[in-house]
Amino acid sequence: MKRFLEGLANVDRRILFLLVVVVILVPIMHPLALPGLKVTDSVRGVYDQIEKLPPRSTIAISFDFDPASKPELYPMALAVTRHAFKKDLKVIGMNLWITGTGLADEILTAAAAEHGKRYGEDYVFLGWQPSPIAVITGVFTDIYKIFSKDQKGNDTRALPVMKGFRSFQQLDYFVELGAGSPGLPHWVQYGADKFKIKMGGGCTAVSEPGYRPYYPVQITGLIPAMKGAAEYESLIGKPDKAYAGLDAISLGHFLILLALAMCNLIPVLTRFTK
Amino acid sequence: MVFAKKTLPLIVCFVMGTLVAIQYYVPHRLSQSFIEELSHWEIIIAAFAFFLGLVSVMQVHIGKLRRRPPGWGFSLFLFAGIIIGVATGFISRGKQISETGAMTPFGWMYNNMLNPLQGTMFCLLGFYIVSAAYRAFKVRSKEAAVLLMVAVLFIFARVPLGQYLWESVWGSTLPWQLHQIVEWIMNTPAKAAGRGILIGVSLGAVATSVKIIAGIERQYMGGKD
Amino acid sequence: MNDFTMVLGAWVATGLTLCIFSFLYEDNPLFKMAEHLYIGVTIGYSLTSLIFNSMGPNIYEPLKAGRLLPILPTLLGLGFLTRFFPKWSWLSRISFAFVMGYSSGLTIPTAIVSQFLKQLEGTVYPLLTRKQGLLDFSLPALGHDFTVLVLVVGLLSVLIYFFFSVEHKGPVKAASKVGIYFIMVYLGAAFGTTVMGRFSLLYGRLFDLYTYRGAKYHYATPVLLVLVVLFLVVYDAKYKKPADAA
Repeated sequence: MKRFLEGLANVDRRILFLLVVVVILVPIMHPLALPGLKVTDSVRGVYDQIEKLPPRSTIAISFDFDPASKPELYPMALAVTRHAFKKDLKVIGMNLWITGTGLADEILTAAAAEHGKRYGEDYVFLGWQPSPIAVITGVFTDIYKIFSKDQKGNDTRALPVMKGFRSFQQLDYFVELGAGSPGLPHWVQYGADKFKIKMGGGCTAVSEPGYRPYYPVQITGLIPAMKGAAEYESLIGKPDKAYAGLDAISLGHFLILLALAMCNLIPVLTRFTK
Repeated sequence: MVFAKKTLPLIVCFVMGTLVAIQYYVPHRLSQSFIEELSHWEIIIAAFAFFLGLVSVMQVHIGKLRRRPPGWGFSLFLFAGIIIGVATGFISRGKQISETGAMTPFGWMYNNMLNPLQGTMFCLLGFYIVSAAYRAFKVRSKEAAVLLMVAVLFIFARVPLGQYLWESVWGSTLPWQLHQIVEWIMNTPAKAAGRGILIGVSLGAVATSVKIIAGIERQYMGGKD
Repeated sequence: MNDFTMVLGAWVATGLTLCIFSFLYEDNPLFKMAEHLYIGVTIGYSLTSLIFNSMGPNIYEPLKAGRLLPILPTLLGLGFLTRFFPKWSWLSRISFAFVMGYSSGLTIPTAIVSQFLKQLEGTVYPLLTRKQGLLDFSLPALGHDFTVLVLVVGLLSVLIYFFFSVEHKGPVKAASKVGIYFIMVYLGAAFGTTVMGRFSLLYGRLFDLYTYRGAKYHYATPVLLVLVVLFLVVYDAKYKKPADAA
């Protein structure tokens, strides 16, 4: 028995890796549709703000993430963008992460196509510029100094969606969906707090505890990771990738619980076993 | 020459820093125009900082190709990657989706090369976190026990399966639901500690910024001359 | 996008994903190749985006239109590159001084407001729940007051823990001990959420591999998986030293 326990404690890491693959892959192959998802106040804090905006209000979304955190942030970005288009809001998209430009473009294009929105009239994608602090400061003072051209190379000022719009100070709501730095703390610090605009956020699971201090005084809500995205998807009545992904995450979490239990139980059992 | 090399940068930093800090408190149109223009300048300047990194990487890998140490051949893949990125980008003029809504070669490269490479590189941590939990998360003190308990609660409660199991056992006999308990922990004791850390970091950032503007901290100046 | 580019894309994406996953078995040339390619395409992508989306509209086009103002910041930007020429590298200091001055100047007032004053406000406001000017003793109000009390005690004790200018003994030691427990709760929550993050990323990649397994993508995943496994077996047999095996 003792030898078995010692063998268990020193099991090859690759066996653990294989177990991880199985646990994540099984729900992908056979969706379990596990019940139990609850919508939390912090997610509702973003949803409610967008929900109560009148049609043709202007909202900006900064997609500050890249493929490294795509599974966590892409679904929530899509859900928030869909919600904005569903409410017939004008959407200004941008991003602070250079390698995330393609994802942001893809999200806006996909959500707009679903709702029959036209580029330039209902939404615009400004793209990326270097120096995040300068970009944030700039878009809150004169957006055209920073983004004279949009991502497609159009004159930003000439787009109908930008008519009468000079800076983010005129926004009705701002959402930042970020995977780290530059991200939510920068937008709060250099933009929203100074210019007193309402903003909400979405973040990776890793960043969540670090961003909580901003909620609810400086941000109206926070959508944390895939779980938050699934809550948002359920709020807008369109369960999608995040909702489906929670099956795999659930099983993964229970695998970690098992690993933690084994880590602490095996030494104890070994001590009391001959 | 000593003035230009040593004193001028300190003056530039001091003047810039002081003016930018003061403008925050001056809600005048001139102040706004000043920060607008400066932010535009900053964006142009920052673009060139990218080339600092680029030249450094190139120097390292060109050196490898010249000296041919073990594994030098992998540097060829780095250059191949740069060429693929730049070539597809220039063909597509930096656009990933064309005017007609079709994916450009640049978009193809982004979706099928950069996207999976970056995504997979970072997801490897998912495997190692299990391995670490299995081998290294041993409770050896009261503090570690608190950490483990909270971690276990979060891992259990933040997924639908955990919430479903909790409800199956307790139903509505408890005054709070599991997700409310976890939210309270996140929004109260965890937030208190997060705020403590944030305040500490902010004071550090302010102190460092003051030292930079005052010329006490001058690491950015580089070499001795 | 036609069928060929779609299938080719699936094969390239699957191949690169599996090359990186091969690291889970052991470090090997496939992983190193993919790793270097990753850095390369990231540089290539960033460089192109920078040129077309930033330098084009901010420098080239205004100059082409006869507006000369971007010349000054461009010269300051070029100053960075003098770092590579020892004789002229001092010029880069002016560029760095500009950038450091700008960011430091912005950081001072904004950090004080957002990360200090607003944090204190969020902790203590409102300290006690009132109703029509009097203290409210209803259950929800008392619950709120208790939460605020925990927040205040937590924040103060954590700050005391990080305050090293006073020796940690007596009441200070006791308070800092309480602070440690609050930090442990924070770290526990951070670990719990991190687990979710890591599994989400893994889910994303495995989902793509599963998608590319079928006839539509010409069986990219199973074929490439077999090839990668074969490579690792051959690599192991040919190059693994006895010491590695042990």
